[in-house]
Amino acid sequence: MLVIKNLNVTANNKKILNDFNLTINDGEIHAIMGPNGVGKSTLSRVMMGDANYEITSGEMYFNNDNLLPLSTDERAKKGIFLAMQYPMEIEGVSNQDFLRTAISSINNKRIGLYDFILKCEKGAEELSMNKELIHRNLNVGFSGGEKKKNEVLQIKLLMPKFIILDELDSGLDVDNLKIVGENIKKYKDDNKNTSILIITHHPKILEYLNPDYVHIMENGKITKSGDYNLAIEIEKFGYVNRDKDLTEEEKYE
Amino acid sequence: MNKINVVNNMIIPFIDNNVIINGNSVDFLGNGDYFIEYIECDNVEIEFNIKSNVCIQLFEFSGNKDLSINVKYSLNDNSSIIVNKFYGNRNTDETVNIYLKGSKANIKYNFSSISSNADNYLINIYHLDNRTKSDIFNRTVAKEGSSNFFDINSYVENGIYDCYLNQSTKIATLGESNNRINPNMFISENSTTAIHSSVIGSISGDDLFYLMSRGITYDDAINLIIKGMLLSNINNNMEIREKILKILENREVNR
Repeated sequence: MLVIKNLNVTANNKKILNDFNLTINDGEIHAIMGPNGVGKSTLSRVMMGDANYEITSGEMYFNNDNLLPLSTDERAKKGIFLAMQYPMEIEGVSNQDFLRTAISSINNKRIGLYDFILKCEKGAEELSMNKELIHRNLNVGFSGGEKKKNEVLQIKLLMPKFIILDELDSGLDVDNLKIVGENIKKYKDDNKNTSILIITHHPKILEYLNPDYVHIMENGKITKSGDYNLAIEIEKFGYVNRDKDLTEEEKYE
Repeated sequence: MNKINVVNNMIIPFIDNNVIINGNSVDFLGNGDYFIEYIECDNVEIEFNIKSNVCIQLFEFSGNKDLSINVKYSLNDNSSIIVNKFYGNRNTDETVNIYLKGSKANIKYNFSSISSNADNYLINIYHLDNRTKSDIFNRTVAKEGSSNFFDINSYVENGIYDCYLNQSTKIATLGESNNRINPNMFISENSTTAIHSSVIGSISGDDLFYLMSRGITYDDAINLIIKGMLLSNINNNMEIREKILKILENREVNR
């Protein structure tokens, strides 16, 4: 489904992604972990077509379509969704207008008001989200948790085929992380072919989504891949000491 | 809502027990909401007087060409006015004088405009009695090749106590345009509370990226942001909203 080959990316003359390679098949869940500043969030924005980054070489395909010439909105229409670490607050633009315009754009037809309200209310209820937030200005005055729930509400409404979760767990308390994690899990269960790329520092969110593959990213490339146990290893030893030899007792644990 | 039409620079008389019209002077004697439309005007002098203890909400709308307009708001003791004003003129030269003459007089002035040509605004706010309050919010979208000059002057003399002054002006630029905001506060009294902010800048690339990442095209994203900025600044009902949207549509705000 998604293929990234030898991708090199710079911003402000600084190399951020360095011969980056990744393949994610239909229905797979991948997690990328890594310390701060290794290029994880850059990867997510480059996949979405952020013009602030320069792609110096490499290839990126989604369902055999070359993504690189496509604009951000064209990539979204292909079914790619980026749940952002810091969703933008946009004064004056109501969440409702934004959501309705987005749904209409993705589906290339205007959604009826009644259908729209029903979908919004159902999604908000499942997320234990205050319905009033739908009528407020987009993310303005939302708490960290409300912003992240609003991102997940968009997933429910826009029905993407490929979801990038950039630090979804940041700004979420334990209870809200559970709600958000379970809602994404349910979306995945209902849409088996949807793939998910989770970008995170912490393995807590992975408990809900149970990734097929976990990758460690350092210096703009993936340096190690494994299964969920790799995330547990990181939780236990951190990124610096993860390769140290385990004692028999630690292995047993 | 009562409607007052100003046609060819003159107020068209109408019957309302709470309003007295004398030439181009409008006296509000009781509470109410009024919609004022300037139709085929090029040189308007108009004065609004709000009597003591009266609360007024005013909606002003203009889509004229080469409009020169001089507006005066006078507020007496304990009176208040919310002005919601939208201009889609082609060339405007406006002077607004606000006289807060009575204690606790209060104005909230919400102005939005889309500019394609040259628009000049001079807004003077005179705090002439104790505990008077002014909130001035200007929001303008400056299209390519336009010029927008705002000179906003608030005055508080020594001995006029506990006044509140707020000026907030924002110009969003679409392409090259010539813009200036001069926010002045002439305050000679220590008990005054004063706040101001002035912003001139293009639309945030991060905002655009966020909207486009949800499948919204560049043009539609610009439209959403512009409409949001202009409409959210003013209280508006469906009729006014439709009028504003029609002007924005005709101006092709994103081009």
